[in-house]
Amino acid sequence: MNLFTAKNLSKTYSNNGFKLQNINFDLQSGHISGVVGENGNGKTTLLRIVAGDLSFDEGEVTYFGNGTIDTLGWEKIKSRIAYIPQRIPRWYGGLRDNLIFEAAIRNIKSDKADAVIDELVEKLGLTKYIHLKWSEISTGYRLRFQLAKMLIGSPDLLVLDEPIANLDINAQNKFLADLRDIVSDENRKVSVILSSQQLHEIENIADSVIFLKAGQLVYAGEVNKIGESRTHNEFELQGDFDKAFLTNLFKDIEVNQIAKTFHVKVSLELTSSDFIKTILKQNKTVHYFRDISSSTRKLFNQ
Amino acid sequence: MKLYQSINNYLLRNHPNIWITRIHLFAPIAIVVFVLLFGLNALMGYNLHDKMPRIEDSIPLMIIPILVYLVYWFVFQARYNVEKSGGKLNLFQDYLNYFSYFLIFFLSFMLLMVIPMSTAYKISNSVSKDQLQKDIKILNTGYGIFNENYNIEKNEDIITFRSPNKFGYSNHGIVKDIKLSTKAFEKMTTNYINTFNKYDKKGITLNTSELIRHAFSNDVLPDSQSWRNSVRYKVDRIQELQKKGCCHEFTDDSVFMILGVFLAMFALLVWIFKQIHWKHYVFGLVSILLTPMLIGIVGLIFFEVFDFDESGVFLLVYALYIGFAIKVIAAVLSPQSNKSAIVMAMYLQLALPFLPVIIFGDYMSKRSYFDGFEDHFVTVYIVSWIVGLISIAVFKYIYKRLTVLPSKK
Repeated sequence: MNLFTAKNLSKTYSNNGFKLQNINFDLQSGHISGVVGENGNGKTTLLRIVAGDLSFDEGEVTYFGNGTIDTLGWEKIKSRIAYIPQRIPRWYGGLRDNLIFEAAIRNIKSDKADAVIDELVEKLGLTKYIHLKWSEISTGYRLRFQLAKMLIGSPDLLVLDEPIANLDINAQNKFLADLRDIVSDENRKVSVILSSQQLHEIENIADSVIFLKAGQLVYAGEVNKIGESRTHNEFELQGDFDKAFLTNLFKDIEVNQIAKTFHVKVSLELTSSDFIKTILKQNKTVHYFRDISSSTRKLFNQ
Repeated sequence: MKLYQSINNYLLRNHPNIWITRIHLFAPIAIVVFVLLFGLNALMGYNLHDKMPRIEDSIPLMIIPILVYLVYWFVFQARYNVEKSGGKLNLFQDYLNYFSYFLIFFLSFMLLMVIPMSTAYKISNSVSKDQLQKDIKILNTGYGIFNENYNIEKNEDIITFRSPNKFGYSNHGIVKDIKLSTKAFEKMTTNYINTFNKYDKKGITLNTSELIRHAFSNDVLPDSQSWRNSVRYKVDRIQELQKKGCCHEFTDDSVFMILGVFLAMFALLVWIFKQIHWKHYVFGLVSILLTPMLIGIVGLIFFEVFDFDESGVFLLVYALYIGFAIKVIAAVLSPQSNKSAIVMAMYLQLALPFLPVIIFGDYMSKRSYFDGFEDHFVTVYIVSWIVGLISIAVFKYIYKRLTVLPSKK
């Protein structure tokens, strides 16, 4: 089932003239979808539209199958969506009390509330911290507690705006692994759409990806189909050689250097393993190599 | 503390809508503080020699503690919200919350009045009712003889005091002529000195025989230094409090009616705060606070420039009500949220309870006589209350609709 479908979605900000134009995509049930793109390209705008926080100017959207806004109504739509903005609002009081409050207002009352909270925090590895207060936990744990809070409402769709932006690499991986576990949990039946600039991490866990550039949709589809229609291979690498070395070594190569990193485009016939083997045969050292032919990373270079 | 914890935990888990009002914490605090302050002040008692305190002087004493109490309570109201957190409140729960806010403001008012009330209480209990009546009788007689220049005639052992028909103590009526034996006069004089000195520290410094000589020489005792410090005022005041009740000044019908309006509006302001985003709320509040100035300017323009009469002003007010209502209804029907409409909805809801009063004012302004004004006004007052209460049910839906819609920016 499509949890959300957008057809020719457009939104224009009158104050700065930014336009999000002709966006077409759908969010599949039980999937994680990543929205990627540079800063100021419309990721937050898109997520806010999905969450029903921001209106759009043109286009059509449907929620939870074929439900339109008119047939379902915003109250019902929003009750099934949990939106975590970039800046998580501060919690006051004990973390446990907050979670119990969240459960109680959703009719999970008395001892049942405690049982639900205990199970959830254990699953998210938060049991050790539940007796603390908001000010006593790190940003990573705040995000996970917020996630726990949202999950109590059993939403159908989790909308997360740049959730891992302020996390260290370990916290990012832990959080993304938690997301994968949550989506994979058959009892929950929750889907996730999240925005991020951590391409590698997003591509690792996402089933599909939406790439935005200057308010335009560059790619929307499954992660493993990104490079299907490519006309060349693309790699990123660093090593003890210069740009001239690469252009002399390979025919039909296009090299761009940004700081120490070379972005190269080669023909489809030249695979990543052949490419790196050729360099190594020249007794050169490669410090870093990544094949971005099937990654949204290459879309940034276009 | 344990009892509070268990109540807190129970409400959190079973009645979160009541838990967030924090009434289980703030109402007992107010009641305990009220009882303690009332008890302490009452226990300290009122020394009849002291100057009679002015009730209104002690009202400001509690203003700062009450502001702290209300701000602290309001901070809790800002922290938790059932509907903004995704929960639902039915109408009954909304009314329950509204009346819990009302109760908090009522308790704050009681705290504001605790010193004046307990002072009035201790004054009224400083002398028993029977004793006060006996004292008044003695003081009235003594006052007539020693302060009011009675004509004294002595015939053998009987002394007659002829009244100059003046009022005595505490409006007890005109003191009639008094006939006493010499012995009884001596006893009465002693009683008068004792009773007078009970209420006045400086009192009468003459002894019985000196005071009798004083009376026979037609000298008059001077009155106390100031009216508030005088024995007459003290006795009057104590008797008033004993007769009408120590809290009669705070429980008058008109006081209750005015108080009811203030408490209801404060409670409504908190209820609205719970319904909308705080930024819209602050904007609305500032607009409302600026309204008197706006009314002044508009009034000046219409009265002075356009030479409007009263009926023109009433028409203008009705037009404003209708204009605001149209704007709010249009926003409810719109597909996206409208911030100015949220503020207008707040404005309209707060102004609605005053509409019956305005209509009544308009009606009365067109009549040449004001027969039965008070009876009608009570009816209008009740109607206003009903309108205000119904507005909770209506605007709950309006705020919900306006806040759930996606915003433009």
